[in-house]
Amino acid sequence: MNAVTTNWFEKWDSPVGIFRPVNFATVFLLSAILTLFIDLSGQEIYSPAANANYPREVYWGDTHLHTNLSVDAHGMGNKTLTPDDAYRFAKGEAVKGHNGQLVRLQRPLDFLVVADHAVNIGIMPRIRNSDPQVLKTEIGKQWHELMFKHPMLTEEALTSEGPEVRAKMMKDMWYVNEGIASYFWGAWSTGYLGDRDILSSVWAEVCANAERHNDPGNFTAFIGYEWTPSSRHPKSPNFHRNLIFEGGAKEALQVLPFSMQDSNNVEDLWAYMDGFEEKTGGRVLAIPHNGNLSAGRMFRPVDYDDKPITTDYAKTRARWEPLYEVTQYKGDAEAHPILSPDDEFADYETWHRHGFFGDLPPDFKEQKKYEYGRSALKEGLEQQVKLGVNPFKFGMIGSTDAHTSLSTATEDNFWGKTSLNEPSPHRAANSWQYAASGMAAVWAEENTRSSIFAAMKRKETYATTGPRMSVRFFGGWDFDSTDAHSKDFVDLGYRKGVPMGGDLTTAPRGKVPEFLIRAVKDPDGANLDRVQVIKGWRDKNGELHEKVYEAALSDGREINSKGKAPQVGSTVDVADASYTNSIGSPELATVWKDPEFDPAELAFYYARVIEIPTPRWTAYDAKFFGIELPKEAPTVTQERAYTSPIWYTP
Amino acid sequence: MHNQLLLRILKEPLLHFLVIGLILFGILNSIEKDKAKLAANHIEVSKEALTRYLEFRAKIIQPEAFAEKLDRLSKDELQALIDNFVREEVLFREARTLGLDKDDFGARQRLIQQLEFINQGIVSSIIQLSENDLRTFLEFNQARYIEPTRITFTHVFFNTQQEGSEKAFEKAQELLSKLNATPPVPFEKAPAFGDRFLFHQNYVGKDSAEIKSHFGAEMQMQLFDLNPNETEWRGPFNSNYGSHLVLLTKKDEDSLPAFEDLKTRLEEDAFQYRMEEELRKIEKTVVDNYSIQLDDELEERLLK
Repeated sequence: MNAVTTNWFEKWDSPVGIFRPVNFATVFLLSAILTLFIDLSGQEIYSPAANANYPREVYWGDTHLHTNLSVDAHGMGNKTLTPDDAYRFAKGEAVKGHNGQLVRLQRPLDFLVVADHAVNIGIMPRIRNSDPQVLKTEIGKQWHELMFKHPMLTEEALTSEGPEVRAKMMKDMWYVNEGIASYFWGAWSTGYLGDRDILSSVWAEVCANAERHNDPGNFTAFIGYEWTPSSRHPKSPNFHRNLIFEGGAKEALQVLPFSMQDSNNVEDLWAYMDGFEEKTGGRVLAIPHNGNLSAGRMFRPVDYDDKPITTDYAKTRARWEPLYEVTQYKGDAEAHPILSPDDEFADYETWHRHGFFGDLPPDFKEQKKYEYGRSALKEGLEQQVKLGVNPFKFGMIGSTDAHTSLSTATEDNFWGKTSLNEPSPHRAANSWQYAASGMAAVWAEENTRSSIFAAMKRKETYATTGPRMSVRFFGGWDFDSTDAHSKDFVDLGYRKGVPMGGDLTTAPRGKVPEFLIRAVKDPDGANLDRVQVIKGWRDKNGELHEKVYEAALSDGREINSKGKAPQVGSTVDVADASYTNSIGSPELATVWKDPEFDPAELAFYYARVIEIPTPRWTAYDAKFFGIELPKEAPTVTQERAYTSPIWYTP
Repeated sequence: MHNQLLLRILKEPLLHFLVIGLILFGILNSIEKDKAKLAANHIEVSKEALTRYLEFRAKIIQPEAFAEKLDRLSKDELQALIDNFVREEVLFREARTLGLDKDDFGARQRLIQQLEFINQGIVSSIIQLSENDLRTFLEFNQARYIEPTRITFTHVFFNTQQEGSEKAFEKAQELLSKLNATPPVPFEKAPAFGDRFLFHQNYVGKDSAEIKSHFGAEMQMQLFDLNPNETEWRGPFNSNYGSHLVLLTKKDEDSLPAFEDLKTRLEEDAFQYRMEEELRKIEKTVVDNYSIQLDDELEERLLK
């Protein structure tokens, strides 16, 4: 777009040209257009950065945060931290955790989606407060009894008596035994407080919270929630989606949250989203997450009734789900070591489970194929050929899925998945598997709902596992190798190519796709080890392939004949939970060209940026609390960023 | 209108104090009275009792409004209300006869929470903060609202990665006089010189934390020591990544934003603070009515 505008104006550089008589018609046209602008200028333009013609800033956020309005968050110890606390924390204020300690972000977030579970949303604080509206209902009364029969002892569980209290809580906590959130753990239809009035009043509160904290230009608060079919549902296990509304309460209040109680079928969710847009003129999108725990179903090309998906299904899915949350506390889902045996970095924070609870079945390779981002992108190419539409044409995003109201994604400031996993001497023993992971990076013009939402729709986003490294990734046919080090890097990128999330097609004769890449370390974080380009393609025989290319390496390392690079080394002192930036590079920039391009094959490309090794959160815990970690708990990590792909379609 | 007068009266702190006092007195007193009545299987249902029942269910204390609501109830509704009231009263008394209120930790907790919640509701509904209150709150909590010192500058960067740190510093030194020619190179022309920096070209109104994270602690301190000067390039300064020449045009010393700009934040913060304060006050008044005796061992431990 920008390239077109720039060139268009260049033609008018010479004032002499304009006054040539032959150009009279154009002058007339130009005047007409200018008149239009003058008319427009009569209206005040609200947005200060409306003139920015391409995204210059990367905004950092979390699209997946739970507060005490989520039944399970409350059930797992989050008694007191409200959405207000969540927003204040995201904006950089200090908040007191259940463990009695103050917690604060080193740098505030730019945007936040408080995405509480839609089912029974907001009832826990109401039960805790003996809300008469809730007590009027039969189930509300039962749950009220349960809550007081099994008092929540979060504070106690995080202090010296920890292990005993915690064990007792885990054993007899009301929600596991009998009730309130049991749908999460199995019987997904046992309890639902189906009172529309309560739901409406909670939804009004959710919308009001976001409206109150949304501060255009400084901090964006999206209205949203999570649609959460049961983890044990046979047809849609862990088929979870986070909904994000572009607009404000005026639109969002015209609907109620759609929960698994309404339907477990994702196609019904899409119909609800369609209905919302029809009714209100607003916009909404959905982000799936934790395919890694979906028992092989997240990207299996079948519908709810196990029938092969249709073109219609593919179109609908691609329309509503432009992004995939590829990394979060419950494991990383970019690549699985069994699917990508040649990728030495594939085994990153992998959760070895089938669904949320099961052990891996013998055919788990076949299952994992439909769970992980990279294999799903490949499957998308296959479906594109079959159906003419790629249902899995998604960009990448990371988020936390924290249930603590505290969005913390850095290793040295990890406040755990649940409030029972806030920092304490006991948590590492049974929750070392959780990854301190998930940040959403969005390239946008300005920090407003509309600008960030638009960037999500066009997939100009990337995921990181926590650090805020800045990553640019452009695809085109005509980059010069000097472009990578040019001061006009970004202009060149947009002028000569398409940004992450975009498409390339019809290769010019004799040309191959080229990628202009620049990665800069997190200013407060570790240096970079390398930048890789990951290519997936479908060959003429219909076989799907993937390959990891080393695009840029730090410390003058070179690629060997097998295309591999030596390791960067490590400066991590585990006992001291520290590292130094004496290895790696603060910035890596390059133009990478596909050495094995066939213009007749469908392909996608994305960049993976890898940091030098740093201490994992478990190492910080061990040092701070002076504890022994379980043997199997890793203590060193190599954090990374995954960009949205650029697709090539012949 | 007489509503105005009513509002003024409603805003009187003295009235709030009296209302809270009365309610607490009522609660404590009724518990005492209930004890005496427990023996008899007799329940009195008065209009007052039902009004209070309605109030407590809604957790709103407005006797007139609920008295009116009671008057408007249809015969069936009234019967249902009475049935509920009686049922709860009976179960309540039976539970107490069984001593459930004494040993059951859960019931105890629930009563405490209920009372806390009621108190909170009452207190929050009567807290009214005047502008003066907000100003006073700000005065006592200034540190929370002070905006840090912010600087605005542009810079020309020489990368150490390519040719080493000495060479970068030399190149910067050489360029300095050129930038400071007459007239000096202006702010917006800075991108024409030097190498590409990792982060930004221009830093507008940035605080020390951000500058420190982008340039390192040493250079951050050097920059914050400079006085603004729109016509003089200064340096070279060494960051973690290379050498820099800097045109620092603006420095806003730390300051307290105008009251008007802080008002919304102050309203929220002061309200929270007042609510906590009022609740603690109420609780203290009640606790002070009790005499507390510690057993010798505890006494000793505390005195030690």
